[in-house]
Amino acid sequence: MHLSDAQRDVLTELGNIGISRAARQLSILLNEPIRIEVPRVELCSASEASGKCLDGKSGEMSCVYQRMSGELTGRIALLLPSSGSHLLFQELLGHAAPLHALDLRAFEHEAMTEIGNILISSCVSAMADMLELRIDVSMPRFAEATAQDLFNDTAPDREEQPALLIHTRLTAARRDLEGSIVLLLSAAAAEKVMFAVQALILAAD
Amino acid sequence: MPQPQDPPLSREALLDVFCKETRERLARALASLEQGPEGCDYDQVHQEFDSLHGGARAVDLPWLEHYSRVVAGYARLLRHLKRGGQHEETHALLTQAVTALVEQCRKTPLIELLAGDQPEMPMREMLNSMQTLMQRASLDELSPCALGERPLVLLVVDDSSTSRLLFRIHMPADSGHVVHEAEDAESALRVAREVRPDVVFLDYNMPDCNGVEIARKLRAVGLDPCCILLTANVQQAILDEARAAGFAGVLEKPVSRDKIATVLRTAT
Repeated sequence: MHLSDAQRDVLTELGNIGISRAARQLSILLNEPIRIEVPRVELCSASEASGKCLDGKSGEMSCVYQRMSGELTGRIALLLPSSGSHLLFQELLGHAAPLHALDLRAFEHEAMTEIGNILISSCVSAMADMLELRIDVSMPRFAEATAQDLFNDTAPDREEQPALLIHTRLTAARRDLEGSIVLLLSAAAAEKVMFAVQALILAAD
Repeated sequence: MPQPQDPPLSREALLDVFCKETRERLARALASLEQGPEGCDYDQVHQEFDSLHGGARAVDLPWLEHYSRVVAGYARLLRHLKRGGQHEETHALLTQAVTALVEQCRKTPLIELLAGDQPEMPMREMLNSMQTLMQRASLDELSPCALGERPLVLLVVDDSSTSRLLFRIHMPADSGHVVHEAEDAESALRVAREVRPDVVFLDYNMPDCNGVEIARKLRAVGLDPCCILLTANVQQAILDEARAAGFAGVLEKPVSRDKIATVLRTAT
């Protein structure tokens, strides 16, 4: 599989539209502007993907991820350093949290799952509309682990076949909060996206 | 040993009791209004019509329920304006509204009046006047109920307790709307049977079945509330599915006070 410049351009725009909608929702939640980088689009194997997304980051990370099904299969995840996840929770729901420490932990995980679900779902819905495909998402899952472990757990498969990776960083500068949205499509799903993208390019010509 | 219970009152008997109470409440409210702008106890007028509103709801008289809510809201507004001495010009409109109802009662036996369609009364004038007064007095924070919108029974169905909590946080405390919660299809059906919600907010993506399927289950057991999809997944295919299933609107997550108010205004 090879990406032409036109295909790469459309895929970047696809990622941009999805992630912009997620950023808009995060901006509403935090009431501050969210900056997003231009998404990076890469063809790589699942095992290579972690290195490309994490940019050498280490330490404890929080992750909400969902499986995509329907006309497009793959996985999509929101990745935050644990400190950022805690900050986000405190900003949004800290005042409503229970006092007991054990409850607090469960409450924070539940809250982060829902926040991740909102951001991921809004991203998926924007991409589905652009591609005119229906994409369903599984129930959201929350996990905390080192970056490398997380990525291994959330990768769609361990095979070395090429997959399509779209990822970017979101930054809330005032709160020093930074996270990533990572979309990893299987080779079969990537072919389907390419087909839909090709149709869009032809329609535009 | 269980005690024998009195048989429930028939609707006619309930209306009979309600008519007697209504006559007394109207007489007390009018007597207070006839004291003029300075002497009138707007608190009392508000309370009389607030109780009338509750009674009308209990005996299922929608027009009177709405009308008494508007009058109660208007009396509450005048009570507020009286503190600034801005109430004199509007006292007459409130008196006119109450007098209109009393006059209708004189012309027609109360029980027939209550059981029939809404008689000619200056409700629209009152609502317009209230909006003008509130804008002039910068009272935007008054609740929808003060504006004459009837309080609603709402049911939020979402497996995420955070999502339900965020809904409650953004529902204005003084809105008058009552919020119930359910976390899955089974509890949604149980709570809906108990509380007969006016509006049900349904999350789309839930573990046992999705929000559209739950709406169908509600209808299958004879409940027909206004259904609103509660989701961040606003892709066209899902919106089309919800519209085809009779959903009246979509509340996009994350919810906010403004979004809730807008969707309730447009969908109900």
